[in-house]
Amino acid sequence: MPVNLVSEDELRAALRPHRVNPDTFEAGVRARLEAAQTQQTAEPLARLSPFLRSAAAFLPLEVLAGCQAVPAAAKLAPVGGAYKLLSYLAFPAISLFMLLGATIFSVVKIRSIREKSDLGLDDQQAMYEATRQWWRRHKWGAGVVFAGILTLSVVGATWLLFLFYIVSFGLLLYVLATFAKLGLGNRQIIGRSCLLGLMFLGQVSMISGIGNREIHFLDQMLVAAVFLGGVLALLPFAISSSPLAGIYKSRTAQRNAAFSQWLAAGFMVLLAVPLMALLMHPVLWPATPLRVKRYVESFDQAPQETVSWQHWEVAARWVIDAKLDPDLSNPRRLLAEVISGEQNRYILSSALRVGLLPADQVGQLREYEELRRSLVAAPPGVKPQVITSLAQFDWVIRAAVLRNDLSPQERDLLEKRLHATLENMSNDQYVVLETALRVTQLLDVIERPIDRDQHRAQVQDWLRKFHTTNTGGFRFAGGFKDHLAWPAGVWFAQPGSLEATATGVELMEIYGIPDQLDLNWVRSFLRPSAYRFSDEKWVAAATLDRLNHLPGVTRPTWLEMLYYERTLLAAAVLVGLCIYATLSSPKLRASQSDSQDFPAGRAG
Amino acid sequence: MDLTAFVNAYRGPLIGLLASWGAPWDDAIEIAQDSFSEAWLHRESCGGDWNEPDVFGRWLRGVALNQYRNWARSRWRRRARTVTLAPAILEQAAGATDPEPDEDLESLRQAIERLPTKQRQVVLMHYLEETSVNEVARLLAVSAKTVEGRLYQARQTLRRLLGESLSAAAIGRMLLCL
Repeated sequence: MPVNLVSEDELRAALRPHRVNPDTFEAGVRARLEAAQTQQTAEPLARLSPFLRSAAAFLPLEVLAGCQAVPAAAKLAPVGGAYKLLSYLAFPAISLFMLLGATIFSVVKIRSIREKSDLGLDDQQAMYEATRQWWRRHKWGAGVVFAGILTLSVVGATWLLFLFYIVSFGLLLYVLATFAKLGLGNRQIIGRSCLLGLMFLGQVSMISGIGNREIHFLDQMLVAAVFLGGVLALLPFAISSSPLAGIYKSRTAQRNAAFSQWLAAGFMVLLAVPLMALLMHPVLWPATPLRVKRYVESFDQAPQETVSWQHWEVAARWVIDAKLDPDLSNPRRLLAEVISGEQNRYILSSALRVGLLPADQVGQLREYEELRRSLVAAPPGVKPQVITSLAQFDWVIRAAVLRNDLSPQERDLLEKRLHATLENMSNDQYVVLETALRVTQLLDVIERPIDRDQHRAQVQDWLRKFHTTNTGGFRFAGGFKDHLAWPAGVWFAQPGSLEATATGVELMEIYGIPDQLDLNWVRSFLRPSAYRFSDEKWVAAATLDRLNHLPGVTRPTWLEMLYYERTLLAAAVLVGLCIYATLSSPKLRASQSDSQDFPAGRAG
Repeated sequence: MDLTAFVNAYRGPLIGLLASWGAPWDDAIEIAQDSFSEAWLHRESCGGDWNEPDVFGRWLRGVALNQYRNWARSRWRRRARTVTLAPAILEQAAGATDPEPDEDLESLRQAIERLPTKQRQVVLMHYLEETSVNEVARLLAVSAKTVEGRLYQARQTLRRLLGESLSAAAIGRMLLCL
C-alpha cells in the first residue's frame, strides 16, 4: 500500500514567506559583531551580569589587569539589592587572596625596581597606588574580615570559617574566570595571590589551635599541612611571576635573578617540607602496636621520673593485655637503678602493677615492712581508716600479696579500709579518679573482689562528673580531668589530662560506659596529634585502643567521620579551588608580560 | 571555515529551530543573528576545535538556547528588539505577505503548527531554506538518519492532519487527478 505523504514542494512553499535574504542576514550578524567588539574594547565589563559588575566594584581591577582596566573600572556603575549582597560574600576571599598578594608583591617590586633602575616604576607605582586606594576605600570591610578570621579561629569555629571561605572563594572563582575570558588577570597573578592566601591560612591554622574545642578523629594540624601542600603546589607559578623577574635587562643579571628565585623557592621547600612532615607526623608515623611494643621494650630512661614511669606503665599494661609478649629486660634494669636509689613509691607502684618486680626482690624495698605494718594495724574498737594517698601504698599491698605476707584477717581489714577509701571519695574535695581504679584493682589483688553491680552507678556518676569538654594548654576537649574542682583562685577552666583519661577508660572497662557520655569526645581527646611527642603519643594510642575495644562500643561510621572532619575537607576543597583557579586562568601573554615586567619567555 | 560559510550552513536550521521553540518568525531571525554573533565572538571558548562543524553546531545551539531563554525571560527586551529591527528585514517581512493567500498552503502552515514538537522542529529547520539534513542533525545533536526519519513521520502526520480538514478545492484537485 503506497504511503501518502505531503510533498516536499508544498512544505517549501508553505515556509517560503519566512525565508530571509542571506546577505541582509549576514550583514546583521556582522553589524552585531562589530558593535560587540567596539563595546568590548571600550568597556570590557559593560556586558557583565549585575553580580559580576557588583563584584568587580570590589575587585582591585588595576592589580588584576596590570593597570589596563582602569578606564573600564572607572565606568562601572554600582548595582544594588541582592546582587550587591551577593558580591559582599566574595569580599573575604577577595581581600585575603587578591589583595594580600597584590600589596606584598607591589611593595617588593617597587623596592627592587628602585634599587636597580627607574624603568617600569610608573606602572608599578600606579598599581601600588591602586592597591592603597583600595585599602583606603575598603579598610573597614577588610579589617572586619581579618578580625573575623582570627576570631573564628581562636574560638574554634574553624568549620564555619572555612565554609565561609569556600562559598566566598567559589564566588571569586566565578568572577575571576569571567574576567579571565575578558583578558583581565592571568595564571601568574591568580597563582601568587592564592599562594599567599593559603600561606596566611596555613599560619593561622598552625598558631590558633584549631579544632581543640570540637570533636575530631584526625589531628587538625593536618589542616595546616593541607594549606602548606597547596602552597608548594602553587610555588612554580609564584617563581615564574616573582617580582624579581624581568627587572634585570642583561643576560647575566637575568641568570642571577633566576638563581635568586630558585634559591628562594628552594628555601621555601626546605622550610615547608619538614614542617609538613612534622604536622603530618601522626599520619606518616602512626602509633602501631609494633611501635608501642618497641617503646615499652626500649624504656631504659625515665627523664621525668614518676611521670615517665606512669606513662610507660599505661603502654606496658596495654602491650601485655594485647598479648604482644614484650621483652622487659630494659625496664627491669631501670627498676634496679630505682631500687638501689631513692626507691620512689609511685615508681614502685607502677613497676609492681606491670609485674616487673619478682617476689624475691621485695626484701630490697626499704620501707616495705614498716608501711605494710601501718596498713594492717587495727587498734581495737576503731573503725577501719581511709587509706590516704592510696597511690603511694599501692605497691606495698601488691608486694605483700606477692610474698604472701597477708593473713586472711589482714586481707579482711585491708578490704574494709579500701571500701572506706572508696566511700570517702564522695566527701573528698580533692578526690582523683585514680582512687576508684586503684581500690578496684587492689581488692582484686587481695582476692576480695568488689561487687561491681553495687558500685556501678556511683562510679559511672563520677566518670560523668570528671569528664570535661574544657580545653587549655594545648589539650583537646573531651578528656577526663584530674580533679573534680580546681583550687580556689584559679580562674581558668580545668582541661582534661591524659593520665586521668587513661584511668577513666580503664574504669569504663570495669564498670561500663555511663549514659550520656559521648565516647566520640573521648576519642577526640585521644586522637593522634602532632603536639604529642614521645611517651604521650604511645599512652594516647594505647588508651584509644582500649576505648575502641570496650564492650558494646561501635566505631564511628564513615558519615560520622566525614561530618567530624569537615574542617579538613573544607580546607582540601579550598586548596583544590585555589589550584583550579590558577590552572584554569589564562597563561600570561607577551603583551601582558611587557606591561607587568615579566619576561615573555618565562611567561609561557 | 569563515563566518559567511557558518552563517550559510546554519542560518535556515537555526531560525527554524528558534521558531520551533516558540519565537515568532521576526524575533527568531533577530535571536539567530544575536546567536551567530555571540557564538562567533566567543568561539574559542567552545571547548573543542570550532572549525569542526559538529563542534560549532553544538556550540551554536547552546548559545542560541541561552539567547532564546534571555528573550523569553524579558519581554521588554523582546519588544525593544522588534522596534530596532533592521529596515531591510521589515521590508522583507512586508514583502513576504502573500497578497492572495493560498488556502491550501495556509492549511498546511496550520497543520505544521499542530505537529509534535520533534517533527515540527525538523520540518521548520529543513524546509525553511532547503538545508541539508546534516546541518539539521548537527544542531540537534542527533544523527542524520534520525532527522530523515522524523521528516518522513512529519510528512505522514501532516497528510493525516490535512486529511481531517480537506478543503473543497483540494478534493476537486484530487478528483481531477483520478
